[in-house]
Amino acid sequence: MQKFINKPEDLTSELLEGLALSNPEIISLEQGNLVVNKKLAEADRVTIVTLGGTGHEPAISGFVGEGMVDISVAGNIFAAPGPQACVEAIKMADKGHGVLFVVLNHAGDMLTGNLTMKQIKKLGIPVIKVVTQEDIANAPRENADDRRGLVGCVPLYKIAGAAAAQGKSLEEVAAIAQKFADNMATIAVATKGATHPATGMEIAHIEDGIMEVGMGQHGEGGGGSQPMKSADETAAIMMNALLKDLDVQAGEKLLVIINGSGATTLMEQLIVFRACHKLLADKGIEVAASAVGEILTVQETAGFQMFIARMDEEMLGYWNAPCRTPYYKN
Amino acid sequence: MLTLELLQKMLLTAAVALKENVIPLCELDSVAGDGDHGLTIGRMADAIKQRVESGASADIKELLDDLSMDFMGVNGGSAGPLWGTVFGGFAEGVDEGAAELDTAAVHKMLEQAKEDFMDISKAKPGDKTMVDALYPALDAGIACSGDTKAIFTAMAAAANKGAEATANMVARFGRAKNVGERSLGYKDPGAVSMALLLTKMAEAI
Repeated sequence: MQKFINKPEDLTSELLEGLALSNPEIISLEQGNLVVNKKLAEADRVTIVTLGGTGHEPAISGFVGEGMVDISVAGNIFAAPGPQACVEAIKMADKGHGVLFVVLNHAGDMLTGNLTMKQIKKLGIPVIKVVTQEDIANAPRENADDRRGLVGCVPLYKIAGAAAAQGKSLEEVAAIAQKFADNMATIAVATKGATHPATGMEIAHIEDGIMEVGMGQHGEGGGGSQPMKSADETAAIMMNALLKDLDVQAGEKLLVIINGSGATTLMEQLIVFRACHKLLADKGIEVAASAVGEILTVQETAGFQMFIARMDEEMLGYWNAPCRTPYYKN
Repeated sequence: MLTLELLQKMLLTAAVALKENVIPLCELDSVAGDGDHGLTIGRMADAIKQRVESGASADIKELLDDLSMDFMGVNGGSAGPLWGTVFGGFAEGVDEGAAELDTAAVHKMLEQAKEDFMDISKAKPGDKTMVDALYPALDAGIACSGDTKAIFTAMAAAANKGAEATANMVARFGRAKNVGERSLGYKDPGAVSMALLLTKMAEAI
């Protein structure tokens, strides 16, 4: 796959510079890989720090700004950053009310997260870590440790960011974030793998005519290989799995997100969303909020992630609160 | 006796070999991973070369600690923080100001590294990770009552055996575990690079 890049070793620094240069009122790039909310300086509240590999644009650094993430620590393509940068970010982010540290469950991110927390403890900054692990493909709900963190971190940033903006305490913000984290579920499907931009190597291989349900977001398989189906059939397979996992009942409200993985057209995502909406309506489940588009991509992977989260009035309030980030504005 | 000079020579020898293996390690990593392990290892090799050639570290403990920090800061996959933890453990296990390490002192270094690593990693032997090379190596080194050369040779042998064995394992940890049987027949790159590090360090003595 030919990509419009320069030298592979400059990928991350160049994409982060591009992000900062195209959003100068919202973010600034500091210390090479810290994407910082320009409004952080005047913040007098709980702040939100997160970390993750690049290569998933717009996620996650594209969601730094008012009402969402205060500092995103960016790693190399698909690689977690090291703990030192995270410690610096937390020191920079702490405005006297503590920091919510959101970590996705991938081995590298969790290693860095744990090493960071060890050092933070020594520094005495109040930090509460929330882990996102909402992928239902690998393991049942009881084995949360085996569940990957997929697109769910992004709506969680929105929820946590809104709660923090309201002036809630660190414990309150963390509790709200954890409640959201415990009530969300994602499942992915892919029909074509992508190539790693730095190495050019295939990160996943899927045969023609096959779709892999349960695909990870770095090309890791999900074990659910099957012949390609229509949008409605695929949506049904995925949504039913999500509803079962979260034990959603008639009368409940959901946030539904269709997150394009990079090579699947918006046209397809919209058709899939329609199918989800009809299926849910038939079951008496209300789509109280939604988003369709590329939020957390995997280079040129063809496929998408389907996400649901249980919503109540409070959560909807956070979801609908104003925010201003490069790739989500409300 | 392990002296600063000898340690520097061991590390530089390893750095050359690690750098030479960047592409093979990337290729190995693309089986069950995203193919960038070699790139990270290349950066670690650069960090070693830079640190050792600077001569800025006053003694063995400081060199190991400085390298630990360098590795933690390397951009790339988890190898950075993981090697950083190993070297940080080595550093912690060395007495302040020690100019040379005898067998007992080297054992202490290895024991601390194992303790520190087990503290931050959930990977277990058999999960098909660098642990499958590292833990057997540390254990073999601790069990060896010979001199520095004997200890590192024992470590290298155990690490290589462990790395070889990973070819028959199905990954149970990290990203690779989602690839399942696809990784059978291929060694784990993290185990291979760790074995390479120790092999070259031993060879330089």
